[in-house]
Amino acid sequence: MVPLGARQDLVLVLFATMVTAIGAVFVWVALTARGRLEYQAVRPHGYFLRSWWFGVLLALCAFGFVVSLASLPYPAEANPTRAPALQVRVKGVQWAWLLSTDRVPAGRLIEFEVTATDVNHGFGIYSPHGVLLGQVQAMPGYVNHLFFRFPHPGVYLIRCMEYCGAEHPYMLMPLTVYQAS
Amino acid sequence: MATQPVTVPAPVRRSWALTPRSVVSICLSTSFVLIYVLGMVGGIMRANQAAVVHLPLDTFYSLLTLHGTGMIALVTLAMAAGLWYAVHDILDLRPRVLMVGFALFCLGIVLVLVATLVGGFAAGWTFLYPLPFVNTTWPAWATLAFLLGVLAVGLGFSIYCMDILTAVVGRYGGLLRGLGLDALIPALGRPGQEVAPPPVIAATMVGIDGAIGTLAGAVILIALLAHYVNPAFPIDALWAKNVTYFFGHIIANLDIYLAAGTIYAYLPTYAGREWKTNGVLALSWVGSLVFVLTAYGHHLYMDFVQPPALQFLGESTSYLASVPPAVVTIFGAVLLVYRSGIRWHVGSVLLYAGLVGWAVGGTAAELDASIPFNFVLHNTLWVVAHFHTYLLGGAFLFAIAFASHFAGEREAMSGWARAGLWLLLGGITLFLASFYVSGLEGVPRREAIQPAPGPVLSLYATAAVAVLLAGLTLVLLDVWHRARRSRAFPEEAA
Amino acid sequence: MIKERPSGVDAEATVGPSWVADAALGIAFAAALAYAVLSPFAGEAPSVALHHLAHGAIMVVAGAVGIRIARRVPPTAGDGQDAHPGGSRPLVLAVLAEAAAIALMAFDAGSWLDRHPALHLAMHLTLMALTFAAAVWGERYRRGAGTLVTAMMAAMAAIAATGFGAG
Ligand code: HEM
Ligand SMILES: [Cu+2]
Ligand SMILES: [Cu+2]
Repeated sequence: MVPLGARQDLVLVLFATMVTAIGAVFVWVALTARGRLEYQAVRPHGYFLRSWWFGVLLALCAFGFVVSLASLPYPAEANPTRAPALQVRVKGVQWAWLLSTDRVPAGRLIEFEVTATDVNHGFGIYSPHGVLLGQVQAMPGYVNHLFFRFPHPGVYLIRCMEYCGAEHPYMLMPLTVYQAS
Repeated sequence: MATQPVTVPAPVRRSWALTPRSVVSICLSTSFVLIYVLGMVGGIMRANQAAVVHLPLDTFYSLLTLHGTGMIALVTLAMAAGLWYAVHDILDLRPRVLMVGFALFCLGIVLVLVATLVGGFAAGWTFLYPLPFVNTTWPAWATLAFLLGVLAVGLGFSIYCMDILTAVVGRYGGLLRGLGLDALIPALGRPGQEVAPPPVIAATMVGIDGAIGTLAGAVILIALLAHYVNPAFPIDALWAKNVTYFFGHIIANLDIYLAAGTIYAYLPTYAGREWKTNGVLALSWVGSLVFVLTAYGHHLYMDFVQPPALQFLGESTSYLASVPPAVVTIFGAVLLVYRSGIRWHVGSVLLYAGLVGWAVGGTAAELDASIPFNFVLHNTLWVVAHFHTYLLGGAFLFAIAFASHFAGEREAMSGWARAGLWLLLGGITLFLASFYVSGLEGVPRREAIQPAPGPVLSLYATAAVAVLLAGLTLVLLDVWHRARRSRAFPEEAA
Repeated sequence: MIKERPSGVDAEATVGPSWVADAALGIAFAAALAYAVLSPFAGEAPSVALHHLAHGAIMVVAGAVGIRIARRVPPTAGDGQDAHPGGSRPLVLAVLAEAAAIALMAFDAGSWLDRHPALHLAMHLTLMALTFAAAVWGERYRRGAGTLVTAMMAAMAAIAATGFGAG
């Protein structure tokens, strides 16, 4: 198995927690369903609980929204100081990646200018261990700017993330990240 | 609430008569047979990803396209028939219109079958421009057949939606009352008229969003057809993606809202409790109506050129979209079951299990709808996992539940059915788990040949599909058997 | 099964001086017709978005006229469920007319229309005729359906205005 990335780890923890909670409620209600109570007796408690549940869920939504704003992948957020970055032009074609360079330094901000000439592709960056670190779409007629910092040197892999025809699974390219001096 | 069939089959056994029961039966049986076959196709795809079988790449992608398009159409067909049956009495709906819709669905599905299996069309169920036109491995006519097929299905659903909406206007004198808003704002009500019951509210919401969604579908399909006829017809790739996903998201999402209508109609019959409209319920459906339209933006998070306003609208309303089902429909259903002494039968077990699928699939969807997570989950198998959870583990289970109820559940649940349910639900769980883990491991969706650890996980999934299909066979046979019995003794049915 | 038909819509339609509404509709119709006939010859073409919205506007007017007329004509045997229980034809025709209007828009792109103003004019008139017919058919199917079909036409134009035919 591939080790999980940090974000994937967080997703797993959140998901496992919520699924456990959901499962517990459903199993408990199913197991106790036999003992019959009048609905009139149950409903007021249920509605009371529901208003709390409503509040909690709304708060979760708001919390999630605000937190997510803090780590958006979009250019303005990924490069807030507008620091100069090393630019790499990326073009997706059926079925290859054309990069203006296949060697970039670790630790520095890289600006990928991603586009496509024929159909939609997806520019996905995999770590040397095979962890998906991030992605952006490659769309004909548009240029998407992805600011990205490679954590460590090594051979990373660019993999197409958008189905683009028969050879889509083979649309791969190694990207060497070297130790910057 | 109309939960009982009103039409008794004609005493003389005529060859076939157009009655609500007969049309709904034919919709359900057609849809289940084809879903079963497409489920096997899904199993074959999983086996290919496990490198157990080796399909040519273009064959794999034709099958993928067929599976996705067909499944969405067929689950919509089954659930549309179910909800139609739940409200046809109250709304005075006529079987002939459903039959027209059914005929258009069939035409569309035949065209899609021909386009993919004979023609080899393989641009995915989303037929995202410009893929259907560029360097294709299939002949141009296959593209035409596919687009016309989707158009036919859309037309059928559009007729279904318009019929419901006009019936709601006729019965309640307006769509706002069809949404039950007079329960919230008494001034809206008409003296002497009852508030619309929950299944009607669901039908109204589905009618409105379905009409808008199919309209968008027609607009993009006509644009693609125009481009097909005249390659100089300009299409902007970002515009096409917006409209395509607006359409696709609405249609795929409505399956579960169609299902919600049948939950309102039939869960109470098992729990022996009533589910009535109130202001909260009406308000929640207005919420769903809006959020289903605006949430599609989460499909374009990774298009950084998309206007930020649409990204934030997509994220915030994707979050909010969880609130009405979680707080009103799913919570309400659990409350209805709580200490109700519910009668467990195939229908109620699957309704209950489907609610779990809806809740879990929704949770997975919310995580993926968070932009920072989407950065590493978009187009991985996580996406496939979440929508199979609420379509296969939700909407489809609701459809079987409805069919079982429809077939009649007088006698106790048979041992075969019980075994079938265990296998079906267990198989689904394992099958989905494989998708989820693959997604977290970064395995992209739509890969005929997957990177590690995809193949290993696919192998588990293939085994799970076999279990799932074995269970499905037992459950469907049980339903079919009961349906035949109740046709022989109509007075015993339901 | 016979249901009491709610009379709300009828009441609204007959309350008040209906000639005022008729006159307003007449003026709107004249304006729409004038746009339909003259705009193709006006030289400077509007933006794609505005063009679709203008189509939406003339279609809404044509639909409104259709509804108004359909409500005055007593239903005949070929009509929808009121006259002929179970009939689905008017609804199917209405939806097909709607689809045809969308299909027509396929010609609504590029310089093609500028080069053939007469065809552009014909297209405008066809769009209006289709909406009119869809509204009449809708209304014959069920009261209120004409309004829904017309609203759909407007919605279609609005969706198209987001970029249909622009590239
Ligand atoms: C027996 C059950 C099923 C099995 C074994 C199955 C299997 C699969 C597999 C293997 C894929 C391809 C995943 C990939 O991208 O690598 C897939 C895709 C898909 N499935 Fe299913 N599935 C089942 C049921 C359903 C149901 C009930 C629906 C619902 C409506 C559905 C809708 C879809 C859709 C929309 C896609 C995406 C197609 C595309 O990417 O173009 N599936 N399924
Ligand atoms: Cu690709
Ligand atoms: Cu024009």
